[in-house]
Amino acid sequence: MSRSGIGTVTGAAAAGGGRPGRPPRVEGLRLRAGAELIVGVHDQPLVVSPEGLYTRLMPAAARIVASLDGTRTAADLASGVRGPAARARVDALLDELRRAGVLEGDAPALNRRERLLSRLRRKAILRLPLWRRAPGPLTAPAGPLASAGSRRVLALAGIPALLAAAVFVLTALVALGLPSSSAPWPVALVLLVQLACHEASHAVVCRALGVRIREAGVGLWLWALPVAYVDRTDSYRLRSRRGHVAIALAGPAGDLLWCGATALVALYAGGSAASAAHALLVLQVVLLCTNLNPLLPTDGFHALEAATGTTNLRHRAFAVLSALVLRVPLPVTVRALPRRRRSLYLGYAAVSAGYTLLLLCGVGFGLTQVLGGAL
Amino acid sequence: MIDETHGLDSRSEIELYLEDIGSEELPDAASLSATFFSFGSASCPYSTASSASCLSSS
Repeated sequence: MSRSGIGTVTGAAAAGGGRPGRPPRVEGLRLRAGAELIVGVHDQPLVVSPEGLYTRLMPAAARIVASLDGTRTAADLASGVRGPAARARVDALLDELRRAGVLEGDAPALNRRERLLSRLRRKAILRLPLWRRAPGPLTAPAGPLASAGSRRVLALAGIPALLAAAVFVLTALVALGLPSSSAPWPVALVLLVQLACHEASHAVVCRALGVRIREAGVGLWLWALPVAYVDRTDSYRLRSRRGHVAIALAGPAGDLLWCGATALVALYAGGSAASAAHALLVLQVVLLCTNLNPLLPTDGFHALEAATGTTNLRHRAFAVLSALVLRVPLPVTVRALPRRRRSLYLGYAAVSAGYTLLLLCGVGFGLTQVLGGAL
Repeated sequence: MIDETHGLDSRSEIELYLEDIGSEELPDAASLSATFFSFGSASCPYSTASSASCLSSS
């Protein structure tokens, strides 16, 4: 198959072996069975592979994909594109669509560098799914949250509760300072329960907005840093910006309520319960701040990304950094961005990469200290 | 003509003028909860205040 892969004349005809007097049969371009063209996050055109991979399309690319009904070849498409290197641009798009698994035909192989970057993008988290598409609370209809009215009531009741929790937490931290005693072991159990509630909050909001949850579990981000996760890939179908912000902030909102309750115990319970709650509160606040840190791909980052109407910000930012460091070409979608935006992305990627590197060094150093102390 | 279902331009004839033609694979979207600081601090035997104080104590 040629690089473009389509618009090729089928075997016998290409060899001149077709029936004399009949024009050669030309195969047109067609999306794979089960591939979908939709309008999704931030009203952007997306194409979804039968395996559930999402690919964002630039407007011109969306018009091309919408026309892939099996009647057009790459040459036909290129003839409708004005400007330099029309055929090469169309071929590049078709290759990308094949790699994304949405277009019939074989994708051209990636070179070693491209393969490495693709693997890093796809396998950033080593996952251990604990729940996957099984019947259970995460797949149940959202019940009382299903209607917009009830969600509004919940938001109105939730805001004062969150404000009150924030006040309790600040009061406890100012009044009690940092704890001097070590955390008793049940604290870790409480944190585990809180973590489960955090992820369930994301899942419940997803379900309320009609987003399917693929799986949930624990994993190692960058194969080193422990995280819990909920796979909400299908939230790309959700167009509402507010909905995306709500999904991202559901977890931290739940964490803040936990912090508020713990602060109340630390302030008013007295005795060992108060000192344990005090130790727990610090850990909960650390968890909350970590999850809101926009330099990590956690909830704060996703909320910021959704609120500013951007998609795939982190990958774009790291694409700019990779282009600079590894001398790989910029993707068309990033190249089309204004220079100032690309500079901002580069700045974000550099700071985020530096922060992550420090984090990895810190975790590595901590592990050596803990292991050294244990031996 | 705008396709009612997709809101996409579904003209039978495509004419694009100097527009960028590209696509971008979107990664699997996951809501992550980063636990490393909290559990790192919780497992620290000497202090719960911070990883730094834990390390200095050990």
